[in-house]
Amino acid sequence: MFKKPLIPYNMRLIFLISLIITSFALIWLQLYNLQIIQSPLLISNSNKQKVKDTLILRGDIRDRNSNLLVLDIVSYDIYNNIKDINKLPKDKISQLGTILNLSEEVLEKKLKQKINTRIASKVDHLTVKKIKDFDINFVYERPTVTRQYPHKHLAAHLLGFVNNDHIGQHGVEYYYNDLLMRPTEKDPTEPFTKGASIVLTIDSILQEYAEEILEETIKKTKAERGTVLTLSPKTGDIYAWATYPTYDPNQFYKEKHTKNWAITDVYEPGSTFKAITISTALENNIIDKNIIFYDDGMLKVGSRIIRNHEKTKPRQVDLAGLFQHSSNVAAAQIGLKIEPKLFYNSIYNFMFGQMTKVDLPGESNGLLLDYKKWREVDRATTAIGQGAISVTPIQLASAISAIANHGIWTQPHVLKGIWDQKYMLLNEGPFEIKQMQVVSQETADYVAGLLKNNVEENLKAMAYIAGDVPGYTVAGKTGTAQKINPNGKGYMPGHTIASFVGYFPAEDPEILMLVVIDDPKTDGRWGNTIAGPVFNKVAKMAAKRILENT
Amino acid sequence: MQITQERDVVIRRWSDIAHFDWYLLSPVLALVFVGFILLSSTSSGDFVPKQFIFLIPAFLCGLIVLFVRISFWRDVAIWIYCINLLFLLFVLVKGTSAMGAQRWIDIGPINVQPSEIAKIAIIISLAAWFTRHPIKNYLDILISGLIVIPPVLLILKQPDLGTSLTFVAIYLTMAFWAGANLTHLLVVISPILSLIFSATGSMFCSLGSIQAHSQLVEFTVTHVFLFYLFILLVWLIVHYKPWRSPWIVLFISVVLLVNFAFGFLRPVLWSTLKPYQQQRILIFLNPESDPQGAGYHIVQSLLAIGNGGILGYGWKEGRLTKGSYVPAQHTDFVFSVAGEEFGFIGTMILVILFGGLLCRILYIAKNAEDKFAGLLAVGVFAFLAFHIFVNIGMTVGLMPITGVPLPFLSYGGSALVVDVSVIFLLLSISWRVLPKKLF
Repeated sequence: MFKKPLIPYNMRLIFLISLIITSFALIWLQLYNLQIIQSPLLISNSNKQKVKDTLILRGDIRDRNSNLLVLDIVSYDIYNNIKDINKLPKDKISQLGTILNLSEEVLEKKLKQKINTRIASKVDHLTVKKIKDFDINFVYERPTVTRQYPHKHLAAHLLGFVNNDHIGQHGVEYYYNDLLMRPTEKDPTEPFTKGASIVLTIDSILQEYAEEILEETIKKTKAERGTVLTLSPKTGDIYAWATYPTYDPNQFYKEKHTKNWAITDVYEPGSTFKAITISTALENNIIDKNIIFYDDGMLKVGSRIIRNHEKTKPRQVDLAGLFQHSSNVAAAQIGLKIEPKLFYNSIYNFMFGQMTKVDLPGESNGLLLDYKKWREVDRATTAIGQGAISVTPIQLASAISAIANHGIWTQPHVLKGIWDQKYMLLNEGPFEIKQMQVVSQETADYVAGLLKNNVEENLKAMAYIAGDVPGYTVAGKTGTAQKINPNGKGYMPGHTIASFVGYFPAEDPEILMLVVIDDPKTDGRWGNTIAGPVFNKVAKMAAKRILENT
Repeated sequence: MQITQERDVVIRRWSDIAHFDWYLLSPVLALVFVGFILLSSTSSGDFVPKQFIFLIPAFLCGLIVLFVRISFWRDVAIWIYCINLLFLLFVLVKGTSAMGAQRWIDIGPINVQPSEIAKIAIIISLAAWFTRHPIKNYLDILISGLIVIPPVLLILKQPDLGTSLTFVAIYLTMAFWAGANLTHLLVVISPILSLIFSATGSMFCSLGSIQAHSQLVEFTVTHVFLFYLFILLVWLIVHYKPWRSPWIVLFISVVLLVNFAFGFLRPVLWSTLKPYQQQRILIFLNPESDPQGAGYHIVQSLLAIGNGGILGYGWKEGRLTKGSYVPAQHTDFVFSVAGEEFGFIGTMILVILFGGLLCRILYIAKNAEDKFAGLLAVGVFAFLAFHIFVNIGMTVGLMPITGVPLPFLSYGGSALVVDVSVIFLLLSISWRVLPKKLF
């Protein structure tokens, strides 16, 4: 049935030959395509691959006063370029030995290894010049580059570090990696192309001082970690941002604390958040400016009881008193008056629960629970800065900045300017800094007045340590939040996060500072007693550096 | 012209050595020479002396093969086949591994790659079988297929996909020469084509989905698959003219049904594979999905060949070759080195040398002393042609990357010995026949 006569051999031969011709024609066409038509394109593509291999220095990073914070240093590795060492004259080897500071035997041993093995690393260009001068041609050099952080720990979390491939890994090194690596016009006197250099808004002396004070305080109070953030409420310039624990970027591979917790982690802001609550209530006409609350020391909301920090006699408090005595009961009463949806939207408007888009990597959104999930008690606790809200330090600082700056929220940032290799200014900030009215000027100014009054009255009554900056009136608020148990539900009794946020001069704010100390163990664990002194010391220095320019 | 048994067989002696088929030998010698030129210019030197030493066993084996009667191979074919299978089993049990595959046996100071020798063994075995049993129907195909399947499975297990496919190519070509027509071969490989085509192209319709092996498996039919089935149907109808007998109608329906079943069940077969196996196949089909691995090879190879332009950078001047960008430049990607250093002219010369060689092998096959010798020559043709096309195709980006070496040019002892030996086998065939009839 299926029997057919065999195909004659000639036919089979022709079939196989045509198969070969077709396949070879395909190959021929592809070779013609690659080697004649696409050749120029492929050559330029492979050149790009080569360019990547040549050395490009990263740009420098400087502070606002042009002090050098980070720079690239070129050094040279020396490689073996000889197959048979016996052909070499002895004196050349000993010459090289003296130049490289190696004994003759060690050097000979190294030279006997395979060709292209490294025999010395990280020598400077003077040594290389000497090798060339002595006409030693059995070795060759290859430039390598190391990123140097001469101030070591200074602003480590802001600057970040570079990995072994010279790619930025944290901080501005990561955020502006492309900018720092983008070749600028070459300075003819320099041997290598260099990326753009950047200038930061931080003041290194203030930064150093803040770090010193912070570390001192944390060690003294046996706290876990802490941060001091100073910025300009008007422009969003970050003057200093000290974070502890810190690390040395020069040896990042040995360090444990390379994470910048102040930007990635959240905490419950506590009483400092009351300014936001009052602003919301006033803005939406939920309370009157002259409202009086009855505060008997505790408020029952559902099954939970909200207490003040210290036991007090029942009393009447107004809005000024609310801040002055940090009355949780009064603030909770306001919180219960505000519709959850309205409250949520207002908090969100203050840029909580979303990134501030500060030009540093790893920023977290913070936590803002969806209002649909709020329980009754969350309305009250959120009003005192716990419950549905957790913030990053940068979120809180910029939200209070908005109140200080007549209701205008400004995007915080650290980049001030971009320079090329010849120190010509390429671009000066601000770089499309987002600004927006988050609360009306009237409300903002009124709440700002309350904050100013708070510090004034408390200083007068000797109740506050915080806010005592000679020559300046300070506005601000302390915060002492309970610490959430990281391993489960509820709070850890006896553990607090002490904070103080303040700005000055109160009438025309130039400097805002947030101090957060996580889990202090001394001085009553209060925001006032722990964070207050830090604020006072750093604020004095900030006033000197920024306002008085000395 | 028909091959007949009464063709005169010449008895050859040492003194006749000048009567070689130089049309065959000269391109081979030229290619081996070019191989050394290319090897000496690869960036990680030291391969030239080693490869030079391999020439000694290669030509020694060649000379032995040259003086052996062709009919001897037919007589010992069954032994060659069995010993070959034992070798392949042995390599699976006790072989040396390198780069994730177990392919080598250590014999004293040298490593032998049995899968290379298996190529000659399978050519001789198939030639011996097809001489006595030319293919007339599907039963013949089935039986002869059983000869190839054991070594193919053993080599797939190593794993070495490239070599397994070489066996398939050798089998299909020799079966074709032994009488199978294209329809036979199409029906044989159609289930595999179904698997491929059912996975390509845009979806035509979905036939529902089931839960299998904790994965949701959706049965789909693609346009390409439908088109393929249609072409298959037309081909079978044109070839078999089904109106002649209802049995033919039944046969065609069964073939189509089997094909459809393969395409239909492909997702189920796929889901039975382990994820890492799926990954391997995907990377094999699409090397660009792994740019740091297999994809890197092909990109650098194309750049190197394109860099050559018309004349190339010249010997030992290749920029990408010298910079060690071209991977495996002394083995699988030796053609890219030729492309970069000798340009379009150089690659053309290589392609012409290979093409001339292959045509000459077919010529020898046609004029061989008997059917067995002709089949041997066709087997060698299939083996070399597949390697040349797949390797060059891979370096120029026409073929997926498989570890198939380029005959005579790639570095490798076992491969060189086998390549030279099969050429001498062909020389032996032509030496005994050709002078009287052709020169």
